[in-house]
Amino acid sequence: MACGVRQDHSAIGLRVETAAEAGGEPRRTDLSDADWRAVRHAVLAYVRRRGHSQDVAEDVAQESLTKLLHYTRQGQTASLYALAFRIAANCLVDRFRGESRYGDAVLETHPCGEPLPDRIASDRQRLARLNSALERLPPLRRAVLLRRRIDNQSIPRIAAEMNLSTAAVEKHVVRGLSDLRKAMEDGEELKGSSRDAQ
Amino acid sequence: MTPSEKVRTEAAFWVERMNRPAFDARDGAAFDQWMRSDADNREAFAAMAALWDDGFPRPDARPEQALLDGSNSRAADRFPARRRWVATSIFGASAAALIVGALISTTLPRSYSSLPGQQQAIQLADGSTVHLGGNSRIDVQYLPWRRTVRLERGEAGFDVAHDTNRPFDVDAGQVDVVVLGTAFHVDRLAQGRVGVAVTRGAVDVRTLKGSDRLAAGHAVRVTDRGIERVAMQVEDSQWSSGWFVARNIPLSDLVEKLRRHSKTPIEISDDKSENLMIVGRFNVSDPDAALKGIESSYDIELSRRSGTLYISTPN
Repeated sequence: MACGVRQDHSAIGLRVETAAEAGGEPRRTDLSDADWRAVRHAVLAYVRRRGHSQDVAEDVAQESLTKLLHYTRQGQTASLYALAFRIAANCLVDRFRGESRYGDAVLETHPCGEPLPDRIASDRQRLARLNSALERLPPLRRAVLLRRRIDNQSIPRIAAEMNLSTAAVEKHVVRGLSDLRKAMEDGEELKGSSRDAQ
Repeated sequence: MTPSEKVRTEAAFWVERMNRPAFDARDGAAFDQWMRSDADNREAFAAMAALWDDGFPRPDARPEQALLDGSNSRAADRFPARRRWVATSIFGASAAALIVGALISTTLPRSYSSLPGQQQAIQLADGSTVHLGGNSRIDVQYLPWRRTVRLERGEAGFDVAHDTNRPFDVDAGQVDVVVLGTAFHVDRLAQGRVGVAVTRGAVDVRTLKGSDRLAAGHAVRVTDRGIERVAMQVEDSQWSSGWFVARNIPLSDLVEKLRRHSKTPIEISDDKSENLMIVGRFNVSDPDAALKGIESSYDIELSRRSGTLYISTPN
């Protein structure tokens, strides 16, 4: 079932971005085509960043926009973009169930869709880079960030338990994330310019 | 193209915000505005969200734990190694402490129950394990030809040892879940409704009105209308983490989830609130924050009277 990714492609039948670009149908939502294109590009970028192929990204973007359109027609959403990202993340969960990027071993009975060796290699590199970036964070910042992300603790709880102000906790999380992302970008740059460094 | 420091920091800010139990409408509007305004912002957010959603590797040891605990305990400074060991084996130790060596030599049913906010790992005689959620209770009865667990209230995850000759079934009121060897989660919600999610193997969900066979990755919600398939989300397979995704469900079901963790009793005062349909992602292990989130997004009022929290709809 996990392999059905491409199969129902034609069965979907509704290509949101095609309709929008052709400018044919009148829109029921107050969103412009430019908005839809922006959302679609953001979702594409997100799925690619999660380490999936362009094909998967196109499929997920397609599915996400179809669902998003459906939800926005039903009523107001607090945030269009937040909903789009949430839907896209769930699509990936549905497709690659139980497969976490750095997580547990793939089940023996897993039907197919095992990652290709190059993806495994590149994920290993990413993981190594992420680990070393985590190690380079100041200890307090790392502790706060891990509590927030890995243990899913709320900002007020971390603040209370670590004797910090909520503003300080929030700042540590934001700065920590930003530092990690910067470290990952530097790695991507090196790889992108095909230098042999690292 | 690398984004500027400012864009990256803003993206980090929004990713953290979007992963809170609830965010208010103003945050949503501000976020959309920020995303809409610049392609660089969208790109930076996509990359940051991917970093967040991919997750971080869980460190085997957390040296900083010792450092931090040091502020509360001098002994920690003197015995950092020991402290580390303690810190890293919290799960193992508590799990071990909670595992009940349930060697059922008789066929009498045996009960296990948990307090709000407490979770238990229970090892059954045949090697099956039950992960009991907070404020939950099960009765276990093993017969030579049948293994039966009655989920009296709350929720539980099951990892069942394979035994073809002895089916394992979970009785959750109007719903009966029959399995051979598999991992799944059963959740008793309000008004007899039940959720079932399967992470490995297959189960049969049987009710008076019909049955459905679920394979790994399938989830259902059983209501008085019958069995409805629902999409399984990442939070469902990691239910013990305390996150719960409400997909247009009555408030009474969400409150039932909060009761698993809340030390304060929660009551819903009127039918209107009970049937208020809720959409959102909530950290039910932090009931106060989740309730605040619901209060800010929906038309309900919270009041505290003699140690009980009441939810009502303002007139």
